Amino acid sequence: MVIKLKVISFTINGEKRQVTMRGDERLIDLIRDELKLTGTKEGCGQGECGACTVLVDGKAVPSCLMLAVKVDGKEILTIEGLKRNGILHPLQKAFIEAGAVQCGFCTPGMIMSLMELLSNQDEVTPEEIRAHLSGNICRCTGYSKIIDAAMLAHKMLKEMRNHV
Amino acid sequence: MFNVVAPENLQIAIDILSGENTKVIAGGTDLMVRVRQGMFKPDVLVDITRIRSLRGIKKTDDHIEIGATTTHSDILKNPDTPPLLKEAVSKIGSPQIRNLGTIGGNIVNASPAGDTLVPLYLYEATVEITGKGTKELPIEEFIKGPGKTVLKQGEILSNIRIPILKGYKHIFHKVGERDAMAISVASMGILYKTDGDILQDIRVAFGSVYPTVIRIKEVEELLRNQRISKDILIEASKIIEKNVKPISDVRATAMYRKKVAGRLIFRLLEISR
Repeated sequence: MVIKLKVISFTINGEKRQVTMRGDERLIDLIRDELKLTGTKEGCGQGECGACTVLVDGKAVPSCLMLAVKVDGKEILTIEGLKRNGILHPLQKAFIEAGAVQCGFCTPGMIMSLMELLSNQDEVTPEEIRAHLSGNICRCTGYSKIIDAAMLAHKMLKEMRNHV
Repeated sequence: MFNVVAPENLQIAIDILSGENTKVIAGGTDLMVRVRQGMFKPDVLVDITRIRSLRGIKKTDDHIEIGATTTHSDILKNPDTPPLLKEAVSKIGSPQIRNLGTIGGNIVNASPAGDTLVPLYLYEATVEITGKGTKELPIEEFIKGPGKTVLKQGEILSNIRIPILKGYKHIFHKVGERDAMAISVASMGILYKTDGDILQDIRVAFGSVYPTVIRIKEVEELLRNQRISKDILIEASKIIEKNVKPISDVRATAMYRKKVAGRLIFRLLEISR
């Protein structure tokens, strides 16, 4: 069998990119190995842990379960894309402020899952946050601080919206 | 190693799929794991998620039609989704998995634990197969056994048609090790219609306790036109234990599954309260 390389074009963290990938390479391989964006972590590699969560067209997906060629024409957002003009995103600030980072391995995935939830909802409850993070595992088990951080970020985002 | 093609046209996809060692990929939430574990070594994967006609939910006078590559998240968001299907889909995987995974993938996997299958058996859904032509089959005839369907090389599951049932309520219960990301140990779905405290009509199905999802008609007949009582549910429970044929695996023993399935029917007590 002849392995064909495929040229794919996409936007990542606001930047247009074009790369050549093999069919069997995954989105996480594209992000970490090809683009050297190592903020996104690979945990289980089977979609169970959520560490590799990124947004594709605004939707949180496990990048270990998606073929890289599937993002042709799409928009990807990774943890590196949250900072604006050197200023951290409210979610990142809230994680620091609430002490929601322990070993840090699950943090990028947690934040990207929360990005999906908080970008789409004006009001959110701790129960909704727990349900939305059900696909993200923290093996330090620092869940309460993560929920606190999410609620804090929600408050910060709401204040920002009200000021606009 | 394999190649991936992503045609936008259904007929082109089917032509490619007629070739040897080709396989459909949609959300990939199950297939990617299997391919990476080396359980399956395709030469070509045909990504069908760029075929527009396979995606979306349509409502007709008496049916809801769901395209095979409609994701679980899209099904959850749609106001036309039948309520029991909505509840079962909300228990699938995690939000990330639901953003990728598709209803067609869940059906074609033909897992006895497939969360969408219990509702589809209960609504008596039909599935459309597209190959050289198209044909429509009841879901119960489409699924042949664990991981087995009637699909042949060069055919894909294209559409799911669910009859709209008016005046029915539902119960869905999934027993697993945790709420998220769990493959069920046993699950039960019920569609029912009441007239006062009489069960006018009832349909009962179980997942994970038989080689396929199973409807237990004997229980439905026992309970139809009856008032719910503890006594009649004890009788129903015995019939369920007699009809299920669970296996022992890493998640639970066969005996445990049998007992759990029998006890689940007592959820019906809540409708008489």
